[in-house]
Amino acid sequence: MNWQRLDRENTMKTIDSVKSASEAALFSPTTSEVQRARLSFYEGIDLYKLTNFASLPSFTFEYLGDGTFFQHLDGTEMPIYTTNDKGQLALNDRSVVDYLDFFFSHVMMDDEETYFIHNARDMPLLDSLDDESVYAITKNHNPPTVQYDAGFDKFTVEADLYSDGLLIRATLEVTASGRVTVINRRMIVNALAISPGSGIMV
Amino acid sequence: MTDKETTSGLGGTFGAKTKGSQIGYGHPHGKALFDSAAEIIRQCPTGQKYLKLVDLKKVPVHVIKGTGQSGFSPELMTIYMQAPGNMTKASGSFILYLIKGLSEAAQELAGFRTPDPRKDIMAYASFIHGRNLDSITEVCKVVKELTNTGHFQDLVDSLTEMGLSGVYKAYIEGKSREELYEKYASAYDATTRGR
Repeated sequence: MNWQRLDRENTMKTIDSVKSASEAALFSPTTSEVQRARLSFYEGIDLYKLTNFASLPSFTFEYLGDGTFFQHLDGTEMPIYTTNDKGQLALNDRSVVDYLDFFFSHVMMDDEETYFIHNARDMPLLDSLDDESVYAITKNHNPPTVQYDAGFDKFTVEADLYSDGLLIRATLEVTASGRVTVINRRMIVNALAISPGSGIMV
Repeated sequence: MTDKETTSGLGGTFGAKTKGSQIGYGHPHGKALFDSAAEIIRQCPTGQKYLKLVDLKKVPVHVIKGTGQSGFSPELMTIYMQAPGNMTKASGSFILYLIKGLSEAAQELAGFRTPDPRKDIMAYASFIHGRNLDSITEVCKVVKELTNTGHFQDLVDSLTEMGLSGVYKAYIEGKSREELYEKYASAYDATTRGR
C-alpha cells in the first residue's frame, strides 16, 4: 500500500469527521496522524488510516472516504458494501484481484481471519514459518486467475487463501456491486504455522 | 445533522456528512468477547492476578469495532481492544492482546509511569519498547501456564500469527532478557516492515 501522509489541515479535518464523542482521546490531534492510499477499484474513494501514537502498538482505524464522508472499516463487509452501493466501484479483470485482497484484509468471514494470497512472497506470517513451510507455500501457490461472465456481470476468481494454518484454493465470485461469495474451497497445504519443523512446540 | 441529511458535490457518496458521533465504535458483542477471554485467562495464576488487579483498580476495558491494533493507553489508563464487528467469541489473538494490555496496565499501576514523549522522545521510545517486551514476556508466561488446557494450541497458533513464535520459543527455553529482546526486535522489524 502506498500511503501518503496528510498535511495538518486535512489531518484535522479528517479527525474532526471521524472522532467519537465518547472516545475523544483516542482521536487526539496532538498524537495522531492520518494517511491516505489510492485504491484501484474505486473512483474518488480512498483508504484512510488514522494512527494514534499514544501507545505501542499504536491504535489504528481505517476508513473508506472521499475526504469529507467516511465509512469506518469495522471488520464486517457492511462498510464496504455501503460504499459500493453508492456507485463508485469500478471492477475489471485487474482491479477485482486488488478488491479481493482489500476485502479479505478488512473483513472477517465465518469467525476466521482469512488472507488473500496475491503473491506468495507477500503473504503475511511468512517470516514466522520454517523453511519447509515457506517452500510448500511457494511451490503450491498459483497466482489468481480471473474470468468475467458478461451475462451475469460477475467475476469468478480462482485464488489461494490462508486461514487457520491452512493454504486453501478457493473459487470466489464477485458481483458488479462487489458482493463476495466463496463458492468452494479445497485445502492445498495443511498446518503451516505449527508444522513439526517450526520448532514452536519445543 | 441527521442521518438522512444529504450534501452536494461528492456528498451523496455516503448520504450524510460524517460526524464523529455518527460513527458507532462500540462493539456490539464487547461484553461477550471480554467475558469469553477472561474465562480462559482466569484458568492460570498469572491471568488471575491481572484480572484481580484491574478489577480492584477499576481499569476500564473498551472493546471497539475494527481491525486495527489493540493496546493499553497510559494517557487514559484504559485498555482498548479492537475486534471485527461480527466477532462474537474471543479469538486467540484477542486473548493474547488482552493479556498484554492487562500486563501494561499493571506496570503503570505499579508506578512505572510512561514518560512524556514531548519531553524526550528517545527516553519514551526506550521505555515503550522495554514495556512491550515485558508485557510480551508476560503473555508467554500465561500461554505456558495454560499448556494443559484445551486453549493452548489456539494461543500458540495466534502467537505465531502475531510473529512472536521466536519470543515464545526463547521464553520456554529460559533465555535471558537480552536474548528475548533480540527475538522481540526481529519480530517488531518483521511486523512493521512495509507499513
